[in-house]
Amino acid sequence: MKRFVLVLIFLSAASLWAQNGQTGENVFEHWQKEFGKCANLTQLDSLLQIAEENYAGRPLALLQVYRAYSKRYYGVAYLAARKKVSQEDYRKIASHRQKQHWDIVFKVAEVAAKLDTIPDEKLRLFARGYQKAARRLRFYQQLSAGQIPAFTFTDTQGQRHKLEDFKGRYLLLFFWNRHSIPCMEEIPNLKKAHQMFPKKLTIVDVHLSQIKDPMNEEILRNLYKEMGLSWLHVLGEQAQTFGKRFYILNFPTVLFFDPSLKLLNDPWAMKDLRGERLLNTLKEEIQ
Amino acid sequence: MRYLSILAVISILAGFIHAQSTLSTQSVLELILQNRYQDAARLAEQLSIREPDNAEAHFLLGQARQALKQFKQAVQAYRRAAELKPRQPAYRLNLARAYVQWSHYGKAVPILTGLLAEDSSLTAARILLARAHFEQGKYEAALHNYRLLLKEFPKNAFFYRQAGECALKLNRSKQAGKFFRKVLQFNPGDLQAVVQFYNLLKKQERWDEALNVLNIGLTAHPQNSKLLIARGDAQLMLKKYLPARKDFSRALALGDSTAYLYKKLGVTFYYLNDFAAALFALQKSAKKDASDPVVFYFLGLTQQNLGLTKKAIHAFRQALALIFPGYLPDLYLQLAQCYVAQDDYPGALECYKEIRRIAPEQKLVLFYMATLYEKFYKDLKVPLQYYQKFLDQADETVPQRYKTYALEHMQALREKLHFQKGKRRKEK
Repeated sequence: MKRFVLVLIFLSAASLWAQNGQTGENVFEHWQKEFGKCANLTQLDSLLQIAEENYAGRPLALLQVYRAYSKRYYGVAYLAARKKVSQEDYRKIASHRQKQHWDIVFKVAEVAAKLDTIPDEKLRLFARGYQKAARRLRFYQQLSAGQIPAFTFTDTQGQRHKLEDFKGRYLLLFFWNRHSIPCMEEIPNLKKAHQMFPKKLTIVDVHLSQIKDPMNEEILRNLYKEMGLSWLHVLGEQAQTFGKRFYILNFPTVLFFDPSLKLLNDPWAMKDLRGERLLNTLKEEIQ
Repeated sequence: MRYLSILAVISILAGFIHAQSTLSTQSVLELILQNRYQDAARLAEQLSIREPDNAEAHFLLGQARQALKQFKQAVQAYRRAAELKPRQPAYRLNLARAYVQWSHYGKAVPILTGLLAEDSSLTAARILLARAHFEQGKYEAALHNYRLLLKEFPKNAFFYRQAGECALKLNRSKQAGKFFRKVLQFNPGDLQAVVQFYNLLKKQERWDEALNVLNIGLTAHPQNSKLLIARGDAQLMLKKYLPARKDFSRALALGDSTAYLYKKLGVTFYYLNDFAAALFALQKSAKKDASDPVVFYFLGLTQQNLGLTKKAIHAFRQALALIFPGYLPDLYLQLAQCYVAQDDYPGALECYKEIRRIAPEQKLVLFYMATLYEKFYKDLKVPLQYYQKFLDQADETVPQRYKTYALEHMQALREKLHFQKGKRRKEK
């Protein structure tokens, strides 16, 4: 009899949990707790697999699961970055951190696309952010496949350029801002690169700026002259459009293309193609 | 001034009523009231010749001449009027006023003092007396009179400002500050008071208060580029670089393009690590005024940060040529770093030696010299000596990390020297 009562209590609790689980915020809270118990990414991924199976066909609940997963993922990744996780995990995160996360980005975008509306505001923002990230990632995948979007711009000398003009030479697009010290630190490297491969490499720097500064153009033209930066420069409104077209979120961002205009570098990897690594990559590829 | 003119009009009217005025004096008065001073002067002159004992005619002639800024003639006319009617205070008051306007303050003071001895409530006379004292450089007496006026008019911003100026001249900064604060309380738009109060606070390096004063001033005069530059200066001193940049940029947008403004803008950009903009602004400033060593110093620093070491050396050298005593050791230090970047080690050492000469209290220079000798000198005894010198002279002000570094490197150097000696013996 006692056993029967216990089973009954367990079953009712389970059904209550299952009912709660169908309402958005509760799913999130539940899985946040569950993922919180995971100490490494292997555990986190295994649990996600179970959750995905549980919520197959329930996109809203699944999105909440992804939201909870992402929060914990960053936590584990943070610990990893601080070397507070196992060496194995640290290595795994270091090498696959971005790519592993992209899978989730694409999954969220895919699930969100199936939904007409997302009632929960936090979830809506989460989905929207990941959809944007997915678009950006797809764009870079296209670039790596050699599908570069057509573009035209007028440089500071007043000459008009279009995509086709750059075919047959290596192309380096440098998205930067003069207020950023890391960007300024890259300029001497670009100068070296320009001197090393004057005929084989075309450098185009695109100055991105959110602030409308009436002196900006004058300041930059002076800088080009003083520092002897003799490559192509893109300024003003067209530079902002250029940046948006290439989904540039932070600077400096370097995009390095081969003569068939296929992207060669990994632009989302942090500190990719900077400093010595930039010069070494150029040497390896061009020579 | 308002009181004076009111009193003058009253006195004219009083004279007009009490005197047995003729049609001619009435006509002169009408012409004066219509601001037709030339005609009034002509008519009053004719009248005073025709009726030399008519005090009213002389007085009106004085009024017309005074309005035409012919003070000498005005004084003559008033004096004649006062001689004819010595008990009439309005004549003497106007005579004193004409003297003040004619800058003959010494002659005005006894008249005004006499008037005030007869009637101490004569405000116009007190105002003139205070002014006359101020212009004569008798600030204590002027301040006394402004204080008396302020007792009567405790909300008069003008008197507070004048009193503030007197206190400033008497080097009573605290008192001056109190007066200027009152000015801004009763008339926040008093630009002169804002500027004077700001200058006072600037002198005392009370930048927070200076900023408040300028904020008050800029509320009343938002387009005043001088105030904007002053506020930018205060922000810069308080290390609020972003608001400073905003103020300087606004002043620039308002059409101010002085070398000083470009210098300040350049320095702000430098501290904001916007070296491209700093370069642009400082170059503009240097073009407009090539005699300011601060501009060349910051230009050098900016160029150094942009990797333009050759140009930086040139700028630092220019700053040195313009004599820059306050910054001299730092200037040589920057120059030395430029030489190191250019692999010009003798040049760098020369700079360090110069710092040792002009600022022997800078012990860190010995450390820099030791590191330089260690890197680029064959004889390892030299850096060892310099590290030792540095450790001997370094006091508590020198950070511990430098001392630790020196100790570690001395140990390594000693080991190297030891092996060098051993090797030589073997060779022998």
